[in-house]
Amino acid sequence: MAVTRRQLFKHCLTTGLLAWLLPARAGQQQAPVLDVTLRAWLDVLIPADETPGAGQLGVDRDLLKKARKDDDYGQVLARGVAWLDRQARDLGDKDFLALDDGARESIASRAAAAGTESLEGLFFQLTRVDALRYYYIRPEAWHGLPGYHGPPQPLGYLDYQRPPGK
Amino acid sequence: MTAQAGSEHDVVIVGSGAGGGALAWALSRHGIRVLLLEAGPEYDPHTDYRLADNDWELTGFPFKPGSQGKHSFAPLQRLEPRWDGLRTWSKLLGKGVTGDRRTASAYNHVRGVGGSTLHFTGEAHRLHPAAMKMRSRFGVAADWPLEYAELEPYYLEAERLIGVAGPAKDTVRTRSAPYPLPPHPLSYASQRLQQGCRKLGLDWGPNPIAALSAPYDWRPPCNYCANCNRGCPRLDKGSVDITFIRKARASGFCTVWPETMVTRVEAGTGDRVAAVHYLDTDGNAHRLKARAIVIACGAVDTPRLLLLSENHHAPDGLANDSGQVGRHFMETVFWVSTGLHPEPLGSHRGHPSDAICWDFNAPDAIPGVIGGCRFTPTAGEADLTGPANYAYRVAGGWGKSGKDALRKAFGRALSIGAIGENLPNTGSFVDLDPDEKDAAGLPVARIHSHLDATECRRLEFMAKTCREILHAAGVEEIFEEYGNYDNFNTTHVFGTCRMGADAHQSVVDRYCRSHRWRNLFVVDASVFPSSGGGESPSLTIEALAIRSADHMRELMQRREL
Repeated sequence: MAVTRRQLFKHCLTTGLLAWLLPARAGQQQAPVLDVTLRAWLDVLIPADETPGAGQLGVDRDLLKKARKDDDYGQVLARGVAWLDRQARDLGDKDFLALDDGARESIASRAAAAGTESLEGLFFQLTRVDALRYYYIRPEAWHGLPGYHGPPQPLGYLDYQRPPGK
Repeated sequence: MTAQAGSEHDVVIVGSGAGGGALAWALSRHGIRVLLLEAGPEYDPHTDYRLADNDWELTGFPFKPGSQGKHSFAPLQRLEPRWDGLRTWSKLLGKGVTGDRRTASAYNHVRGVGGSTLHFTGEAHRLHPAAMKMRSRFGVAADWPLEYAELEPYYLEAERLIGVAGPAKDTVRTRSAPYPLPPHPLSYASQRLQQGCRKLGLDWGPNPIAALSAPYDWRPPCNYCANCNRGCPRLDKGSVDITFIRKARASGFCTVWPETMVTRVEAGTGDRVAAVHYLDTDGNAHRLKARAIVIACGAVDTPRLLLLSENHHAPDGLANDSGQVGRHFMETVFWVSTGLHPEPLGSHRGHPSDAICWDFNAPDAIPGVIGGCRFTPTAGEADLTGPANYAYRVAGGWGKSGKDALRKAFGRALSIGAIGENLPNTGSFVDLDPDEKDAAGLPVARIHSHLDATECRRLEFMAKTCREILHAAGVEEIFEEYGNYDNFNTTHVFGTCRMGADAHQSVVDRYCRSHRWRNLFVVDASVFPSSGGGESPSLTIEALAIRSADHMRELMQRREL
């Protein structure tokens, strides 16, 4: 019953916001460019540290798979990636892929600060939430999470009466 | 249509949830031949509940095709600034409802063998005795036409069959024998909430739970994975499919037909219903006779089926001579607050509803508001039991700092919720939607829901107390709150075929038998004259069903059925 990413997306759909943000179906980027740029974008959101980055774990493929089933979602991805490239050009570079890490993070900060009534804000929120969901179902991502070592079954948590790890 | 002259079954039950399943067991154990018709599919706990898969967290309960009924909502009420403190919000995701009208998310239910117990957490509550006398004691709702003491032996029977784990003492709900199993020890997170309650002078003790605290009746004990709502693959949770229905089938006198949709009950001449009409799995129509017919589809679909069953013998719908079918709809009045605790709690572990505070459960316990409530931990209900949800709802941020924030936050969410009484009002009812149809071309149930100021005041008290308990337990900042004020989102539904002594004011009598049709029974929470002070209803439904079965058996022995 909690507030979910589905509610966020549904809100945009029901208020007509998505239609406003996505007025035309034409002009989508070519799929290969979308794939590579999306992967780079997700690595900004979930970079490698002591656990792998989102791209290394193939999270981009999960989002693209979802986009193939949901046209509106695919439109958000395509237009969001186009927005990333426009920001890169404003900085004097060819596209988002040509930017260094710092410049990419700067663009991400701008998207993060925007509200979901804007394309970049919606793109940021949806890709962030979905990337996190798909990232943290992978065992490589679980290192360092206190008391979590994998799915709740078949072992359950027989230490549930004690502090985690004690 | 296939017409059957007779039937090899004595009793046909429509719906296999808490009411239908318990009734099937209670009849079949005495050699009465029962046919259980279920619109939804059957679940195999070992293969359908995927809690051992890495991606377990991406989906909630695994709804199969046909496992949810279709329904619609009439426009809901305008939201008022005076109740802004009851609006859904999240620190990271913002307001849950941005408009100025109440929205409708869902009537959360499962159509399937076992009904909504397939996704319940297993709370096994007896009603507060005073909550059964709301009209005579407080001038609201309606009285139950029976006393708690009459229901008590049936509560006990249900608890023993299920293997309920509960506390030794209960001074309000008097018991003729102890629970069959000892209570579940409190999780570490629940112990923190207990400390908070004690600081406020509140009691926080073990919750009676239909999940095994020790091996019982061939089933293993709970291993505290905290995800009962996704379906229990171990079979320790006492859902109706693995308790009542399993035993009913074992009797040799109960047959279950899943994916069988009853479209109407045929009113006959005199005071008897003649047959049920149903669609089989291939969509073929059939007619089936029985000595008695029982409707147990829940407080949304039971009135729908009765209203769909109008014919020239029952022109206003079946059992609707009083005009009461569909009226007095009551929903789940609830609130949940969640915050981060400074200490690692491992709050993703333990039974998700292991403890309860009953202090405000009596109908007159909340200052200035009639109708009670109760408080329980809600990390499971809030779906904060795995890292994916934590990552986007709790930790926040992105990049390396976002990953670090999750590592710090995981297991620290402390969540508490309250469920309260919902008094019936004239704006809340269920009728047939004139426009929307189901796959069979039949009108769907349309839910009209209105929350009166009394409900909002009760919700205010619930929200305030949740916040106080969290802060007393050490939470510095609450990051998410939601309830049903701005968003209809209900699991427990009641009241739409009220039970009562007066045939002009109710649909069924004290044995859940139709006042008008003497071989027709309704056995689900639609018969509740009042909702109780937040108690989960499944055990009461089961107790009522077992009691009805005893009465049906007497009627059969007297050849009145």
